[in-house]
Amino acid sequence: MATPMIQFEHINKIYGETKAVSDLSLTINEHELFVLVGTSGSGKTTTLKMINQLIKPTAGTIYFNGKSVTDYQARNLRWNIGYVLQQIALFPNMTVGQNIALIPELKHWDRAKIERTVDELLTQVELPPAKYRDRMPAELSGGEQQRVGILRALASQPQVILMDEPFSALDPISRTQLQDLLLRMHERLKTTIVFVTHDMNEALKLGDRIAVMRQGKLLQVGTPQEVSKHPINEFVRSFFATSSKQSALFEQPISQLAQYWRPLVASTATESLSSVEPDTLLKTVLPQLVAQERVLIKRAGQATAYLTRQDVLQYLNDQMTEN
Amino acid sequence: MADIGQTLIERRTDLIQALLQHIQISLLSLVIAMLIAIPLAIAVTNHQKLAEFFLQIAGVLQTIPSLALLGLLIPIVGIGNVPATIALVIYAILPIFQNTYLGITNIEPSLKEAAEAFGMSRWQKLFRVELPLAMPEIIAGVRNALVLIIGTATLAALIGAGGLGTFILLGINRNNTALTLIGAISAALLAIVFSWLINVLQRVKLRYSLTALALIVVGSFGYTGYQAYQAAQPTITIAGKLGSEPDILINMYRDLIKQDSPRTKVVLKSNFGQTSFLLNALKSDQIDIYPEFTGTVLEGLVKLPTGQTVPHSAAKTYQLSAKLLQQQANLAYLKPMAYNNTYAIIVTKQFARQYDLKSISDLTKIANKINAGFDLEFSDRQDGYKGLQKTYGLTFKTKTMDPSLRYEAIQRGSVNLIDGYSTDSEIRRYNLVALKDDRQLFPYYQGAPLMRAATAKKYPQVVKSLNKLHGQITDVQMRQMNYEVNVEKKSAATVAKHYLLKHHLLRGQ
Repeated sequence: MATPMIQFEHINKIYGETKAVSDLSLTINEHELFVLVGTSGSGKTTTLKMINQLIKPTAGTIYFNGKSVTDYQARNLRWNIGYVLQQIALFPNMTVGQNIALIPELKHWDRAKIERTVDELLTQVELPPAKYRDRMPAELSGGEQQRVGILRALASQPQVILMDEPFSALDPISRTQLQDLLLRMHERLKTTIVFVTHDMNEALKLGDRIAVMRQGKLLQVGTPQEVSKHPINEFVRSFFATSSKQSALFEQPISQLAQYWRPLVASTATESLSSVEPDTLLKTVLPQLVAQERVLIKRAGQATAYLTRQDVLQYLNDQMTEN
Repeated sequence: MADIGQTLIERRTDLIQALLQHIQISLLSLVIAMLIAIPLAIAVTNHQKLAEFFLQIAGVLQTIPSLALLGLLIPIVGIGNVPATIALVIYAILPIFQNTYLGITNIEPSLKEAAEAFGMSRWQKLFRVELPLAMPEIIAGVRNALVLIIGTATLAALIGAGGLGTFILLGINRNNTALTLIGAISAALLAIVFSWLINVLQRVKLRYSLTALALIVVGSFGYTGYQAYQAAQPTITIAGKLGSEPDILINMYRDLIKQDSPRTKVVLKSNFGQTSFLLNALKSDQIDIYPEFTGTVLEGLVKLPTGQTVPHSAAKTYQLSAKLLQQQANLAYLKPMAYNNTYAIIVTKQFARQYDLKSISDLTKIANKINAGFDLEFSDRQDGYKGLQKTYGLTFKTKTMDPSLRYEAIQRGSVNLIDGYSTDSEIRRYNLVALKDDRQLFPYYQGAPLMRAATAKKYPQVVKSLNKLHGQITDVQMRQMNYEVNVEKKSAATVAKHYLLKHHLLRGQ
């Protein structure tokens, strides 16, 4: 049974005449990578910022660890909730190391422990400490800066990390690298992450569960599978169709296509064919199918099945019509 | 240019003193302005309306002409360093306040949000994020303020705070371009050097800049404290009005006092300002002695008892002045010198010889030949041209002109008679002659040391020393000395000492 980490109960946020968030109730569990997805004006960022009290709700209660966030001292709450911004916002007057060390310093950790932590973290994100620790943020690429941004949020080992469209300003290659990095780190650290994005691909790729928002209302919460398979209404469906559906398909491992696999029989010609694993993504299989008619699927080193161009086309077509 | 080099060598100790005063008053004002403007700007960063209000006020204050501001401050805080510092602080506040406020409010909002989200306290945000990020802007503001202060501080000389302005004022007063240039160039160089210094400080760490600032503050206050300590020793401060004549006189006062009381410290403040500055300074203990004219005393420093008119004798003028000063202001007016620096009717020597002119009465016979140039003041005074008409029955063709132009006009021959003062060096310079006031129209203006009665009582030896000048120095001698300072560019100290030695008032070395 999952433990609730953050709970929204009938949260409303009203700016003048506008309802930015209306009657939102939602539970985010411990260790979850939870994605809030929606178009601009959907209230997803407002929802995120109400967790660490950067924005105060007009009505309703948010619980953190079972206690209302308003019952925490603001600094204690925030020290327990890491924050990563779209603008990255590394302090330009501090070095990379000083940026990462910021919250541990505010918490008065001892010097040696801080230094050790900074170096360990930098090593984990493939930024060698000797080379990067003493550089200024302006000397780093966008992707490198946001790695540091994530480390800064992680450094004091908070229970939750909030990420507000952290990768949307990056180039596609850095974005993919950082998404993979985030998944690896989440796998290892199991920190609860609340991640805001407007990109459905990103939501599907990263989220353990995703919540789709529109005009301040929560439309649907579920695993990527649930949401993509059974969109609750036309809006969610079209959101998939326009923003993500096609490319999301190619992000699936070919085990998703199991029903299209053809069993390997003795008569099948296998010479000079390349082979893939069941968890290979469809998008990496496609180039091979451009070069050859069929591709072998190996399980535990043993080729047991194969897929043809025809099969993949069939699968894509079925998915399109199904939605 | 050779002139500047020469002047520079002669005046180098004065220049160093003036530079030090200038730096001290500028830095002190800057530090005070920073201590006011920076915390204030920080305090209002979250109150936009209040900040705009303060910006308006600071802006309005800065539009007050500096001369007017100094004038407004005198009745409140007197003269000297205090009003000068206040005025400079007022000017410096706007650039520092504005840059600090804008520097902090213009910080990238995402950085502020990050600081907030990381649980920083108000102070942590201020010292770790806002101030470091706004620092380049703040420093730029401080630099603007300093350049402004160093420029404006030249006006401090007007109200007796010294500094490089004394050179400029003296230069203008004596028509000595070299002096004016030295003052102006030094001020400009000072601004450039300090601007550069701030630039250097900006590039080093905040900690070092703050240390440097602290050192400057401590140094500045230390220097002031040292001066205060020095002032605690028996010190006589002698000031003089603008011009060569008071400058020569106060140098004589110093030499005479030092001869008899070598232990007493004597400080000279030449070109200290106009009459009212000096009287205020004397009454408020900022200076101890200054030379004043008997005629000036009766004209405005004391109230004449009803029915009392200005006496028509030198001795009576002095006696009445001394009596009224003692009664009304508790001031001691020592014995006057011989010369009478009053209005004079001046013609060329050639003109005088041609018509055999010795006194003003002699003009009556040639009134129709006279073409006079008077300054506005003289032509309007009862004891000026109006008095000439009444007392001497003289009426002639006149035109009015700026005082500085009169001597040039008579020199060029566009007029043949002018008004002037009997000790003007120009009389000697342009070969002119002052006609005798045989019907005693002009009031008597005899110079004598003026001091507080308490000072006179406390330093009887000083009174004795100064009274040695009683009855000394004739019109011609004073004119000659003015000529040596104004035209031959000798220093007032040299001219004063030379006179005293020649007349055995000072023992030779």
